[in-house]
Amino acid sequence: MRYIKLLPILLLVIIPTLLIISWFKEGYILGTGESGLPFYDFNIQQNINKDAWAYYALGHPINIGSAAAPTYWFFAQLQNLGIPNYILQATFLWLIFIISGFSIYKLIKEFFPALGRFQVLCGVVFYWFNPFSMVNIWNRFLNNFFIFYALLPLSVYLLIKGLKNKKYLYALLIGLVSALFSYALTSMVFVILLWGTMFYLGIFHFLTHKQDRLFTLKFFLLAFFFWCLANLWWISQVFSYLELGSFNEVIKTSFKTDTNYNTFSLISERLGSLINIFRLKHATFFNSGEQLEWLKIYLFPPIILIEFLVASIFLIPLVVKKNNIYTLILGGLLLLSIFFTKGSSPPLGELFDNAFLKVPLLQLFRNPFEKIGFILSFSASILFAVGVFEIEKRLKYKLQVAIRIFLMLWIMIFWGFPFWSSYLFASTEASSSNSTVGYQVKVPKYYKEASNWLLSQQDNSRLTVLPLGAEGITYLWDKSYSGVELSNQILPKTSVSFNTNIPFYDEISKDLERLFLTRDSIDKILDVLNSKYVVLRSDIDWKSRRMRDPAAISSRIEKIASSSGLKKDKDFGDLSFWEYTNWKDKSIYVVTDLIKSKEVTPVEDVLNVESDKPLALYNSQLPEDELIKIEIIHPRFKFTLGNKNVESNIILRDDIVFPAVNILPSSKFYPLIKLKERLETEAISSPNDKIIKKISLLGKRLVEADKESTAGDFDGAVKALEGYEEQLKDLGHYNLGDNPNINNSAFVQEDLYKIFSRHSKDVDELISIFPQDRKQRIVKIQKTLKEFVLNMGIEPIFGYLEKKDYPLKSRVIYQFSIEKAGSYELLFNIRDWNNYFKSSLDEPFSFQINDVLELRKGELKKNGLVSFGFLNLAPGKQEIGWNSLEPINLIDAPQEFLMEANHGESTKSFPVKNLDPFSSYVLSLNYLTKKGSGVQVSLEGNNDPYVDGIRKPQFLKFLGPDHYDFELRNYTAYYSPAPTSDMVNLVFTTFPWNNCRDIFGVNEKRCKNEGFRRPYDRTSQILIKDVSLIKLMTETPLLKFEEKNLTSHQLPEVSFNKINNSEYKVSIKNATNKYALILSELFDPAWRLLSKEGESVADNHFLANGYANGWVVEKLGDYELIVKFTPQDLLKNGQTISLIISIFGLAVVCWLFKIKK
Amino acid sequence: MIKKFFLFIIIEILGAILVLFMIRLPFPIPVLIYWVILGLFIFTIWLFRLKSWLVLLLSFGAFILSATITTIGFNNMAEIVMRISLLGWLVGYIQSVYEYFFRKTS
Repeated sequence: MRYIKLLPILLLVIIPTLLIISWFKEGYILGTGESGLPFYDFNIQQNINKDAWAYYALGHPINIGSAAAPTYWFFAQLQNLGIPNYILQATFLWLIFIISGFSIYKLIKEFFPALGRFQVLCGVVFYWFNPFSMVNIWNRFLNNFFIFYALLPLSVYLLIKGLKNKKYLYALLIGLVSALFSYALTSMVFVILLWGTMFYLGIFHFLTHKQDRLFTLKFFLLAFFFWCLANLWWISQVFSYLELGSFNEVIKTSFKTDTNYNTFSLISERLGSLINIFRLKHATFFNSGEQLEWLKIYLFPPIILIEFLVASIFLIPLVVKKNNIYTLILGGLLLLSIFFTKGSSPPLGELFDNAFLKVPLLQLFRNPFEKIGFILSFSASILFAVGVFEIEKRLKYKLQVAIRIFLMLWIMIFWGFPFWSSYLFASTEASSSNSTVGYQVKVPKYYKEASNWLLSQQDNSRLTVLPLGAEGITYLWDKSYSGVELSNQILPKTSVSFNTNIPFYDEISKDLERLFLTRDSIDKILDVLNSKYVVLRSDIDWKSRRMRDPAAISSRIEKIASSSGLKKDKDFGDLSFWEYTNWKDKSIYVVTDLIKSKEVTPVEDVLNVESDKPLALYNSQLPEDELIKIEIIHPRFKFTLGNKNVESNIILRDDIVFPAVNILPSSKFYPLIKLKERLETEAISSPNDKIIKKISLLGKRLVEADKESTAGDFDGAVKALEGYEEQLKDLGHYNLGDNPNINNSAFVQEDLYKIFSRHSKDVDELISIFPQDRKQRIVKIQKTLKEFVLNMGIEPIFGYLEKKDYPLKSRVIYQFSIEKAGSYELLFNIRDWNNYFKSSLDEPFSFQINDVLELRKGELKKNGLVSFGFLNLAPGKQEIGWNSLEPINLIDAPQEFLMEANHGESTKSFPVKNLDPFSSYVLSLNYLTKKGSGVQVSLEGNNDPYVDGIRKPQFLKFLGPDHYDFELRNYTAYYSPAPTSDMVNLVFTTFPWNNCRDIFGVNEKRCKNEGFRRPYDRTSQILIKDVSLIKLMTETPLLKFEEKNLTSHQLPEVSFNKINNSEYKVSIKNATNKYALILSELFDPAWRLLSKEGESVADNHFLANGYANGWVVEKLGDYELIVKFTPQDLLKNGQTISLIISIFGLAVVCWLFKIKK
Repeated sequence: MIKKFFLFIIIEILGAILVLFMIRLPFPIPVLIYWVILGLFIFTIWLFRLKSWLVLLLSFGAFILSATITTIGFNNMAEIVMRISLLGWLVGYIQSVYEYFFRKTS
């Protein structure tokens, strides 16, 4: 009997043990998603996280990530003792189960001592196996989620125990436990959730225990301050990041309210359904039965009903036990978590919605289900135990037993079977080889060999890893991996190996592969990145991730190896290491000549200069410096006219540009019209739709002015025009043409030019109608309109020049901002010009330079750029334009051909000649459906992914028959290939006409059978003519200004010693003149250049080489400098304080326990 | 009591008309329907001095009703019932807290 009583406690150990054994019995570590593979090598992880500057990619501030450092250090020590990593991970996950289980168990007993062991056990297994934990903890598989899952009940237990027993000991334990579980706090959301929950419970305790109020207050303050001190090392990093570091840049570039709000709205819509939230179910996951068959069981109606009944158990205490204060507290927590988990969904979602927009901190909760769901699962588990108790209380013994058996079976088997079967650890992402990628990972041995070889070269070099894709990757290993890219986690050197939107890093990563493929020599890029090896990997599933074929990169590297100083050094399995033979450690180096890059910060500009002297890019808003010898100016605006090959934009429609008007400004109902317009505009959520609406309303004002002036009511017309002026100013706040990413503008400038030209014409006409005394007002509006179109980049300053011998035909104009007068070289980076355009470089070419026409000849330069000579330009805005060149058709198709299909499908494929994947194209063809169905046109790349065995081409369009127009029809479309494609085919596919489904509507499944369907096939015949695919000239020109006397200064000698990831000791000798010192780590304002005494040596910290740090140093002679990431001092001090406080706290706790005994 | 009942009927009819009117309006006005329903909820509780246990019990009933409708497959309708149920849980819970702290002490 005694053992039976102990059974629930034993089960708390037995269940996790069996589960962990079943997960790790094969001896593999588990990994996926954003956590990557930390259990592969803790020494690498520790090296990444140990300092204030993370040793990862191009480096970055560790920020809150430093909270993970003690965990990595601890596991690294165990790993160094020789314990296999899968054992470490198994133990880690086992502890998560045990700690979370026992914490919930003790917490339930603390809240509701009357509950029996079995009822409490029900609460624990509910916490372990409920659908939220199934998806958001275990399927998500993030280490900080695991730890928070255990830390939350443990901290709350200590809080409640301390408050109830009036013992300060527990306040200290909360801090000590949090320091031990600090990995959970690597996300600010969890810090907020943890303290939010404890604060909520503390408030209730304060209100309900009048006699203990002072104690409660003191206890809470002690817990909070001790917690802060015990965690000071990482808290200091968060504050230094907010105050000193690149947080502002992150806010500007990555933390966008619009994007966060859109994510929040989308997730609220998808996951905010209450019928799922009450069952703790992730709607998207449980509806993805297409990918994961086992999920289909959860869609059976009886199962749904039982799920609701089980959910009702945790609601019952709210009805029947509402006079118990702890039921009230936990019920409030449950309802609040349900309310916030649904995000902005009804009911009353506007409260969260508005708070989200007004309180920036709440944007951390843009996925409310994932984050606040923790509290839902936590509170529901405790109330579930109470619910079981309340139900059992009302039943006879036999029924009690039946209910117990049913609930345990339901939770442990029905909810638990994906745990026991490890189905949870199957990704929905299938690789191109059609095998399901699971979470079990076996990193091939050659990574260890490569690591050892790299470690044997004790230098500060970096790796450039190709092919380079987005943040996610799928490897093709025996036990494969799918999740974040791993190079920085499984090789001991930092590497540029993926593309992400980290400010400045993305400037490098997004262009790196393109530079390898388009420039003949990339040695200067490798210098800038301090990259000694280019690593070619062929063990990746490049198709499923839409990356470039490793074979294509391999052949390209071989081609440019000699010009770039690359030599194949080593092969480790599927990894090839190409050494950059001219590599010198450029972690820190000096230059006396700088290249200033204006408008954009492409690292590519180092290749646009032909000098062999050491140079660095200067991308800064700082005042001009005499070290700047070269200036490269990129255009700010692009203007086109007559270049629209595809008429797809709806905004040019007359009913939108100049909408109909019924009520005029002179009407007394006019204010109501304005109110209606305002409401309509505010109701539009899409920014682009809002702009279209506002443009339409501008046109409406002009129509009103026109009608009023025609009727002779000039007061009404002026009122309409004043509205026009006001609305025009409002439109100026939107991003129309002022977009530095010229080819990525949301609106086509040409459309806007046409619309505002019509506006301008209208205003001109109104001036002629208006009486003299009112003309002045209209002239002012005309001036405002002109300024608007010029400032917004809608119209070129010098207009579109047109002459008899230079017609306005497909004109393109670029606007540059020149700061100093001089001779500027006009350059283009147009690779293989002759492959795409009929004009030869040797033929003179007409340019519109401001308001003058000039003929210029092109000349191919050594660095692959085409120069069109020098222009003498004055400071101010300068415009350079030309008529687009006559393109070459890149498809070798017959002028006319017939597609015919009798049975099956008929296909014709034409390769695209000389594909430049970084450009855009226009596809054009004529077609006539003579018989049957139409033709499918697709552009299929060599890296198109396959979903369920079906190719997903980059471009696909079905051109069907028209039941009205039976003539030859034209189809034209823009096409931008995936930049990672190497080959693309234009494919025409025709299918026979078939009416099987029409005949067997009810049993149409039979028609999927080819044999059954075949007798209903009828021939399709489609005539195709004049197929063409032409390249658009998307390359932008640039202007280069170069001083004649490059490098008259002598370079000082520099040597350095890396102290840690955040600090370098630099020795300078023979500095005879001013120079720039470059640190090849990601730019961050918290990097400082200091003297040996710790004083700042240079204040002009600038962005160098598009990503790095640079300082202009004026100090001459021989001396030593310190380059330091200043939060490192805070980290060291924080670590010391946290350690002392934790030891002190531990000693006090031990002492208090001793007294207690 | 009869006066109260008539007042209740009138307010509920006006509320129902408002809800029906709002359903026809374009987004985002329909979202506000739940504010009207909340108002009607509070008004009804205030008018008939309903106790929290009854409100919570009604919410529980709405929860079970929504569960049944979901099982049948009418998810959209079930969602609406569940939203009304959540409103009931929130109102009933606040009432319970009020009753615990104020009625208990008074």
